[in-house]
Amino acid sequence: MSDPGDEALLAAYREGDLAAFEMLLGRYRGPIFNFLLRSARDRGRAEELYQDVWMKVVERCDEFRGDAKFSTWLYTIARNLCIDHQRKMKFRGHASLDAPQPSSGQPLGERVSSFGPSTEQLAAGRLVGERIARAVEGLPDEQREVFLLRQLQGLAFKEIAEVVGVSANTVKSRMRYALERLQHTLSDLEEPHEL
Amino acid sequence: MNCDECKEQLFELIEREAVDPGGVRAILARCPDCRAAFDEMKAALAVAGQLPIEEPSAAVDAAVVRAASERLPRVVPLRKRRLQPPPWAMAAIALLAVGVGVWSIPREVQLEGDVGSADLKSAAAPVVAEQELDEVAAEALDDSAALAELGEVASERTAHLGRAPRTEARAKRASSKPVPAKRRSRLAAGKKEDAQAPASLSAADVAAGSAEETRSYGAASEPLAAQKQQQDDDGGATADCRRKVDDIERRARKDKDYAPQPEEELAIGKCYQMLDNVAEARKWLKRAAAHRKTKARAEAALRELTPE
Repeated sequence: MSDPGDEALLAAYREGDLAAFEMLLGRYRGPIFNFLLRSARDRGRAEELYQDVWMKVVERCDEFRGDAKFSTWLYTIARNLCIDHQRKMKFRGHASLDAPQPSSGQPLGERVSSFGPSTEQLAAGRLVGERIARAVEGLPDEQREVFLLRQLQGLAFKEIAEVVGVSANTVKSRMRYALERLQHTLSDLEEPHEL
Repeated sequence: MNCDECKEQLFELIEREAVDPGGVRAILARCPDCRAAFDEMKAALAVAGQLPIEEPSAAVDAAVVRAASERLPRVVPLRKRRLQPPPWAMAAIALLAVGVGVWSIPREVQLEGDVGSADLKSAAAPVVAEQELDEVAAEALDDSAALAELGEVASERTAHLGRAPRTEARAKRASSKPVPAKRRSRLAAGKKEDAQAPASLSAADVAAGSAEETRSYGAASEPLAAQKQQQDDDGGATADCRRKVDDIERRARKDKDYAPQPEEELAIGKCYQMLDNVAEARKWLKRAAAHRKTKARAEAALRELTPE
C-alpha cells in the first residue's frame, strides 16, 4: 500500500491524528532544517526558525485548502520566516557574508570558501562538506534559496517558482548562476566527470 | 542553435528539462568550449551534492510534536463526536428552547386581541417602501403617550431584538389613527406597480405591514407589556446570554471542529452564573480559568459563586 500524501496527512492531523503530523514532520524535518540552516547560517537560529515553521503549520493547518501542494505551502512559510529573520539581522547590523570586508575588500563568503586548505589537506570529508556549506551560504539570497529548494527537496522548477514568487525561467536562471558561482568558488574540489 | 543558446540550456540538459536536448547535444559534440562549460556545470552539481545534511536536535522535534498535540481540540473518534454533541452545545440548545418558549407565548396572546394575522398578511403582501412606512407610523406615534412609556426600556430592548417591538407598537397605535391624505397618496403612488395594492391604506394596514415584515426577519416580536415584564424579570442580561450562547452554537454548527475560545467559555460560565446554575457555571469558569488570558476574570467570577 502506498504512503499517504502530505495533504492527506495534514487532513488527518486536523481530524486529531497526531501520528499523521509526526509522519509529516519526519518527511520534511531534514530538508526544512537544512534550508533554514543554510539561510540563517547559524544552528541556534536555524533551530528557532525550524520550530517557528512547524508552529505556523500547526496554527494555520486549518487555512491550508489544498490549492497548492503541502511542500509548496511549507517552504513558503519557511522562506517568509527566513526573510523576516534576515531583515531583523540587517536591522541589528550583523555583517553580511555578501558585503565586502573592510580589511580585504572581498565578501566574507568568498574569503571563507576560497582560502581554505587544499583538497589533499581536506582528507576528512567533514571539512570538504564545511567548505561547500560555506560556499552555499555565501550565495546571494535569491540564488541560494533556489539552489537549496532544488538540491535539498528536489522541488520542480515550477514549484520553486510558486514558493519564490517568480517565473520558472527566472528560477532556472538563478539556479544556473548559483551553480556557476559555486563552480568558481569550489573549483579546486571538482573532479572531471564523464558526460 | 548557437553556442550561447546551448550554454543557456546546459543546466536544463542535466536536469532533463532542456527545450531542445538534441540540439544541445549536437553542439556539445562539436564545440570544445560548450563541452567544457557542460563538464564544469556537471562537476559543480556533483560537488554541491556533497552539501552536508544536518539534523535538528531531538529536543526541538519533541517541542514541535508537543505543540502539535496541544493544538488538537480533543482526541475523540470522529464518529463518536458526531453522535455526541459537546455539553456546552446541549446547554445552549436548552437555553434557546426556554428562551423561545418564554417569548412566543405572550406574542400569540397579543396577536389574537390586536390585529388579525390575515389582516397582517394582506397588508404585508404589497411591498411598500420601508422608510415610507416607518415615517407614517412614526408620525402616528409621535404624539402618543405610549412612546414616552416605552422610554429607555424599549430602546435598550430593540438594540438586540431588531426593530420588532417598535414597529409592533407602531402597528398597534397607528390602527387608531388615519393616515393623512397627503401621505396616503404618496404611499399609493409608491405602490402603483403592484396590481394587488389597495387604492388607499389605513395607517393600521401600513404599520401592520411593517410589523409583519419585521416578524419575517425571525426576531421575536412580543407585545410591549410582555416585553417590559420580561425586561423587569431578567434585566436584559439573560437575553444577552442567550445571544452569546446562540452565536457560539451557530459557529459550532458551521464548523464541527469548533471549540469555544477562552473568552466564550468565560461568557458561558457567566451566563450560567446569572441563571443560578452554579454547577455549570463553575464548570465553564474553571475551563476559562485554565487560560492565562481569562484566568483573572474567571477566578473572580468563581469567587462570587456559592462554595461547593
